[in-house]
Amino acid sequence: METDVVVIGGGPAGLAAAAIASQQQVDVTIIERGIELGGILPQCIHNGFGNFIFKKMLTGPEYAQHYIDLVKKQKIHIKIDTTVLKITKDKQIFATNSKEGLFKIKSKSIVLAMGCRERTRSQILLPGSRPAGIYTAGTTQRLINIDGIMPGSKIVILGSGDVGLIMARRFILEGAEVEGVYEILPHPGGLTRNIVQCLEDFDIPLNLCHTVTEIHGKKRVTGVTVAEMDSSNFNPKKGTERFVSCNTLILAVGLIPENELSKQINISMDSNTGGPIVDNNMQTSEDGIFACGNVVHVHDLVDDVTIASELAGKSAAEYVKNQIEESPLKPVYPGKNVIYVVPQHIRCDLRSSITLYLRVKNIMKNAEIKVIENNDIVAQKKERIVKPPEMVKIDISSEVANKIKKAVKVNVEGELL
Amino acid sequence: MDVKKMKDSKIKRKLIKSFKKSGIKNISIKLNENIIFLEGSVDSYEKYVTAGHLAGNYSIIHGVVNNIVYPEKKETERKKGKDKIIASADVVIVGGGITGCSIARELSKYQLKTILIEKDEDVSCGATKANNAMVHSGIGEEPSTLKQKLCVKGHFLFETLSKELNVPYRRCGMLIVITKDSLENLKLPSFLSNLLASYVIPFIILRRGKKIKVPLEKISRKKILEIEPQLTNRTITGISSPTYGVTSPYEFCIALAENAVENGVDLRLNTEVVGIDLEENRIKSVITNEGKINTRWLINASGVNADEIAEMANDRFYTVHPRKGSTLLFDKSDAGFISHNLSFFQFPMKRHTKGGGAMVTTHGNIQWGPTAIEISEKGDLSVSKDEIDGIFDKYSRLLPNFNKKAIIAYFAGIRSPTFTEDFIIEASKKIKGFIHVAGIQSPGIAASPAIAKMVADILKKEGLDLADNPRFNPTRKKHLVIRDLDFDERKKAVAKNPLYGRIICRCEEATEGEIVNAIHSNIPANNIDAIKRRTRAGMGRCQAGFCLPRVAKILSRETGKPIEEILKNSKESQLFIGKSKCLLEEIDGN
Amino acid sequence: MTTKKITCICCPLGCNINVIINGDDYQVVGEQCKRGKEYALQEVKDPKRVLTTTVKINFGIQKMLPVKSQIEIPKNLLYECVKILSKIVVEAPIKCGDVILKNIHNTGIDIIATRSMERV
Repeated sequence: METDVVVIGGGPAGLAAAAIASQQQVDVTIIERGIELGGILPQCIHNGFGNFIFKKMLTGPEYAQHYIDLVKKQKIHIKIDTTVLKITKDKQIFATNSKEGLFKIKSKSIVLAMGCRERTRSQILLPGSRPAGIYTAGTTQRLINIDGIMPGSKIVILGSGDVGLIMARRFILEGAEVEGVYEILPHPGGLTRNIVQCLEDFDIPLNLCHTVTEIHGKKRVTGVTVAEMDSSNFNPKKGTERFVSCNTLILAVGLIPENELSKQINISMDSNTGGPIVDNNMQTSEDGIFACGNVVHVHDLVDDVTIASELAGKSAAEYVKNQIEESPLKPVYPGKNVIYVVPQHIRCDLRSSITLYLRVKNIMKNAEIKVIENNDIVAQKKERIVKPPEMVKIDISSEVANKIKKAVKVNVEGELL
Repeated sequence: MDVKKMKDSKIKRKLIKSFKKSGIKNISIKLNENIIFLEGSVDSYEKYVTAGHLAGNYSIIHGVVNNIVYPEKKETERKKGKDKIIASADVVIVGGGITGCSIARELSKYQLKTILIEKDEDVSCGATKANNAMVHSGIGEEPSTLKQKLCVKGHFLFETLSKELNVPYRRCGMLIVITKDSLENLKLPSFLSNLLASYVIPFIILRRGKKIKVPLEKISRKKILEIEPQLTNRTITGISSPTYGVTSPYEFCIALAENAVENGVDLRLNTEVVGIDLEENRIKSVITNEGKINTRWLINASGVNADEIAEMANDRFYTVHPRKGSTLLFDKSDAGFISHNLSFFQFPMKRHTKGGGAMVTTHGNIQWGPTAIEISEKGDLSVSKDEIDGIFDKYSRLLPNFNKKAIIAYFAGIRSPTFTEDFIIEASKKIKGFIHVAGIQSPGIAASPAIAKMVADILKKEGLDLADNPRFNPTRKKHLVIRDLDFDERKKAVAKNPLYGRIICRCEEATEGEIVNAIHSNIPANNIDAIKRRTRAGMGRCQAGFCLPRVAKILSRETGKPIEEILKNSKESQLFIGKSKCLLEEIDGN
Repeated sequence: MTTKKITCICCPLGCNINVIINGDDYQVVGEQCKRGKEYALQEVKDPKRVLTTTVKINFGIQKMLPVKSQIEIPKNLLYECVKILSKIVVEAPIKCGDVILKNIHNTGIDIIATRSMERV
């Protein structure tokens, strides 16, 4: 089978990329391992999606429905219940499903949109036994909202990122008891809106500077030991341990971009994002291979995923039509108080402005975000408050960006809270 | 004075002295036919173990029954037995670990009615599924022990056996790595330490190899760093044991059991021995939670519970003291990082442990461990922070550039050593028909083929007629492993069965077809962990985050069990508490 | 006289606002903008939330159908409403926006489907 653009992943990133690419009159194929399109969105039944693009607070399924309908209206080949096993540098894709078995697709370009997976219990080195009843938040979200299964009735949640907070509320509204949310840092990981509407609304205690130090139970979880964190050495404080009875431990301890396929073709990766290095066209270090969505870096807002993915789809189509210019790449480095910046490269032949996405290391008030080359300010922006869980954006106009000589760095300075 | 009595009282005196040195007092020591019986109480489990080891130290001692009371001591809860006679057999084997399954397969070569009883819901559920998978060559074992002899004998049989059973096995070899830190605990000046490390230690190891007939070779620093470039540059020299191998122990055990069943053995899972009926000091029947099985020959291969089974047969002359071993498992992403089993030579080392190692599994994951921690509770499978830290520290010294963040899982297994720290494989001297196969700790996997043959020989010597089974087929039916097929073979397989085309576990590429096969195999996998062992679904980097709901749905569909009853492994390990809304309905009094 | 503490969610600043209630008199302290003041008053007088949950569905590609309340409902009725919805079973096909339950718990607010699901 031959096609122009293969989009690996039918979630919000893949859908947006495919829709735009198809509008550019190229042949597009989406490969999705689930039995339906939508990716993670169908299980995100809460609202808060699309506020930026649609000016409405949609639920995940509604947001997905919009793009699924858009994709279905076009002549896009959709392969669901199909898993990509291997990709090659010359854009061959090996996939398998129950109808065609193992088959090969020859494509002119690839868009990587595989999303991310969840950090596991073992990766956080949580000691104790290995009973049933230990789940990552996303898995329980899938079980409850899609499969109609209730995983537990007495819940402890480790991690106060949005996924953990959302699931706290979800468990309550399914009749379970949520004993508390435990967060290792001194500040919560999710949006204030979720702290209020998921925890405060239901009197669920938020225990900051705490962690789970051991899991108990031989066959099914019987409880966990929690302890206070010692802020000086980032270890649990001895003597503060207490046993909390529960039958389910939910881990909301981070997302990891799913780059197994990317690593097969040895594209350059960014250890700060966990994803491939991309330029402002969302092209990776390999010509004709693009990436977008959570596979590049973990986003907070799906709207940002859509915008970047439309860019990737457009670029993939242009690549197929030989319309991408090969101007030199100028690196963008994370500077003071910045964990990472995406894109990591800019091609300075821009016709329109670009947006840099970054995450800060600390919460800061009255922050100044500066994009600088040596000591010259290329772009700057002020924000009243910046927080690590909330991605920061800064636009650079094309005139200014095209004047970049070698490289730029992004610094964020402000009052530490 | 009787020569024997003199020896006995001498041992008693020496023992009391060494107890005193270790702060152990008021222990009653009885010696009878070279079995030591200890009674009394101590204030810590550590002292209990020390007392047992001190007693077991004398070479003349055949067994130690340690009845000393320690603070955490608990009575084991046993299931209730049923009186109804449910079967009769020539031979009953108690224990479905690698020992019991090896014996079962061996006995299926003869015209015998053999029943293998296992208390858990699958075979391999004890130490077999949780060890570090090395097939030891015997070089690391204490000299002149039965375990060493059987290890050497057994490990040579793996090449053939793995082919017959269609299980993974790699003769990857082991490098005993001697570094500048190997003798650090002796606190010698470095020039002396390096001298010992470079010449004396290798000499001793090579000599032992010659004695026990295990091929060894000294390797220069240059060569060892060439074949294992990731080793620390503090490496001085090394010894290669090329007949060392690695297998997949749970797959091996399952394969032995499947082949045994194919050849006529009756496997009964979820069947726990709660008592043994004797008649004139002869085995009459074994009482289980499912009923009685009449038999004249009972083989005790029950791992951590071997002493309790021996007690039921009125011939307990040993006590099992559980020793936990935790292992760390890493991602396959650093494939090719190491290719041999690596052991970090350290002297002095904790006694009764070979120190574990770093190795590559037959599936390409790297493993570090295991630890060796004496624990009081037989079922304690928790991995402690200290164990995790300890393993990281030890092997980081050997492999400093290793990406420790690539950890996928860690797990614990419980070894079943006795206080004499050697295998006990013999016909009971008291009870006719009772065969002890106890104290099988490491190298249990490597020794298993030899243990099985030894048990068959014992049965023959004791009078059991072993007539050849003409229908014995040594080749286990091969299960299809889709990820190992090439493009065309895969297309053919899917054409026959479309379920081979649907990937359920993305991390390990396990297909729906393989999962369904496992559920319907001759030892049916009817829980998540049993499916995991047979198909690898859930063993990958996301640790079943993606595939668990899907595997559970397939299980429910194929077994007809409602999804809320699907288990992770044994009876109380429910994954879910019910269908959606069940808790809301409860609250409303529905 | 009572004081209610509110964390404003209108913008990332997340101001801590206090509303001092004296009978029918409400005094708002700590807000940094008009939206914050309005939000705090609403939260204290008549807090409302959009309800999002699932209902059982037969003959669809999945077993559960995600639903939401068309607009915010009083916060204290959330739990009652999920109990009511836990007894409902619908059938595919469903179109995104279809009314699943009209006027839930006499609020005058409908519960609607948030996705389409074909019949299989």
